[in-house]
Amino acid sequence: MAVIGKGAARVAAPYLFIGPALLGLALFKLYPIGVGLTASFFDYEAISGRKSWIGLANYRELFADPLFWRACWNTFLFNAVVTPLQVALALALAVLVNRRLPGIAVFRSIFFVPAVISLVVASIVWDLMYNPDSGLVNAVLAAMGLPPQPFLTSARQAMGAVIAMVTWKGVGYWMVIFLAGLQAIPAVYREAAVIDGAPAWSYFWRVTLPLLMRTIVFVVVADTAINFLLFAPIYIMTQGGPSDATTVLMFEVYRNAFVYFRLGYASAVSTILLVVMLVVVFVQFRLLRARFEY
Amino acid sequence: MSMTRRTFARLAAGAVAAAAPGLAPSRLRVEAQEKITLKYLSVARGEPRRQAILQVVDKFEKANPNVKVELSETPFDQYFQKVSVALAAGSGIDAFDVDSPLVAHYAHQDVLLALDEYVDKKDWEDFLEQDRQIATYGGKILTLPWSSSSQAVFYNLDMVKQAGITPPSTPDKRWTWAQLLEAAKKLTRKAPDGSTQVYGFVVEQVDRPYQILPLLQSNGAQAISPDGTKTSGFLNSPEAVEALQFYGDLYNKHAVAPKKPIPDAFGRGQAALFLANSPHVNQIRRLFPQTPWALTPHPFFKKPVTPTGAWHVGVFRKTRHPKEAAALALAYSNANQAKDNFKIMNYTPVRKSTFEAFPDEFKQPPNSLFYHEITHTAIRRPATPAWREYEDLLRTAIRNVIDGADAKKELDTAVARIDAVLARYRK
Repeated sequence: MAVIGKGAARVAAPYLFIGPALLGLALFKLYPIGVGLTASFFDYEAISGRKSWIGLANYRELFADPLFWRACWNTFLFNAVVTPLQVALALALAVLVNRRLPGIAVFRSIFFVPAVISLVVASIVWDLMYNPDSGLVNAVLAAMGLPPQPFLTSARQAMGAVIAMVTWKGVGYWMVIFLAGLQAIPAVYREAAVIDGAPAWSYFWRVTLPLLMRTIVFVVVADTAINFLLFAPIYIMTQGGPSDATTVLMFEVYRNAFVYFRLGYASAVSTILLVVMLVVVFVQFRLLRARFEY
Repeated sequence: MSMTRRTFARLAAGAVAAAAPGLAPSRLRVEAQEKITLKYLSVARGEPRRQAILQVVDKFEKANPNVKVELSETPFDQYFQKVSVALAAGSGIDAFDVDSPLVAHYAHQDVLLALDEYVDKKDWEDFLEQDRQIATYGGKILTLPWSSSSQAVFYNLDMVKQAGITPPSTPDKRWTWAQLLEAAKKLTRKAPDGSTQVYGFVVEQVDRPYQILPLLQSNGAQAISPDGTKTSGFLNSPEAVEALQFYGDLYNKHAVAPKKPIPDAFGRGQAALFLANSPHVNQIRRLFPQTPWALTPHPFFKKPVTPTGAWHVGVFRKTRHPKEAAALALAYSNANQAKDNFKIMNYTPVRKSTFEAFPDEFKQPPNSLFYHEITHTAIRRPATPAWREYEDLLRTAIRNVIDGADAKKELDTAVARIDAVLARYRK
């Protein structure tokens, strides 16, 4: 391989490579975040364009609004269930389809199918399936002799119903990532474990999981970010209802920005959302640090 | 940069207008010298109603070969949001459908072009007094009405006959809500597996305040305080709670109505009674000619109250082509088109000349009933700049009650949130 330049050129080379990505990041991520943060200190009517500095008033109003706290709780609840559920199921499926069995590719494809369906389409179809009167799910329940359920029309069941749909939608995608991680683990460890007579369960806990940690960190952090920002299923299936049962922070951002056109207030909500996400992801990075290399 | 270009375009348009001395012989015509495009945002109305706006666009383009109209039809559920986004972006919109209770809201946001200089004073008098009032804000004409609305209950003649029910046909004998419920119970038909084959009762706009607020008002509640500053004690009064709970019970306790709307349930024979507005006359005739129907008046609790409200057309204040956009608005709402609009859509007219052109229409069913309601029992939605938020918050409460939530709790929540919004607007 040829030596790339000398002196200054050598120092500059890596920055030139990451430059375009950094520029994109600054332009499309950091700049909007800055604009959003600034907007949160204004009373900003989008349609008329009227804008006045109000300091922390948006935040004060936010913290005094029971709906904001409800949305925080719902966001926490949603993420506390969805992310671990998706990660656990995806990992289990990945381990399952990692075996060399005849026709395994078919199963891999089937599990991956939900990931290639548009989230909007999936939400509309699940909304129809959950219809208490004529939906598929109740028809299946009826066939099994079980009573029909209200699903999305019930404040008690709506969140669960959304969680089920989102889990179904996401698992296949993360499964593929895990599968790639599993297949990157060198076969020698497996052979060594077999020679030592380690039981499969023990091998999974003591060898596979620690070596898979980098993949797990990626999946957990990326999945958390996606789920915190999830909007389409809520918008399409529940509009945050019934009785605010599925109002998550992201939906509050949308409602304030695009229904009430209070851009300042909506920016304050999204700033809080961003801070919460940063804290959660930071904790995840700390807790899930990879301890082994291969 | 874009400011300069826009300013330039406006100046250019002004110069063109000034250079055309005689101006248009017909009000429809504007002599644009350059090729221009007008963007019209409209609610997607489905057949046959959308034929009206298509006809307007077609005629307007023929009369003004230099103007192209780009019509964008958006489903009702997303329409207001789409308009707001376009208004906020300041582009992609020249003229648009305005729901009448939002005139005050848009006026407060200062996004509507005053149309006084384009409207002939004598022609303006042709609009009904109440519609002129809605269209005027701060002494200026901001929108031009092209339809009003009124509601009645469509019933399936066969089903009613089978159930041995005779719905009243005149307003003085109208059903109470309790009577309608009894009829709906008899008309609801279940399949052997427990699912509902025919619902006794369906509502056109199940959770819209347009349609449901009159129930509360019929029971003696008020939508907002007389000075328009608060809803607490009005929209959540015991009368309001009682009426909304009754409405929710139709879906839950009595299960005579479907929680999730079924498209065209009445036309397809999946519902026996259908509370809906007058354009459904044309829609059912056209799409479901095999469904036999007649009308019974809107039911009531203590006094008859029916919904009304109108669609207007407004021009975006920042349009680059104010003259042309105003001409398009006039093309949609002028006296001749108003007659066609009525024939195509069967909305209740907003012009005296339309009523005069069809003297028999309003003396016999079905339109005699709509005419009676609009002149005797109709109450407009409150004219508050906060209507956009009011509508959304009350709609959420209604939706939740349909889903089985407690009416008092929901109205208390809605009222607290609406009052917070009203306080913000006062500031």
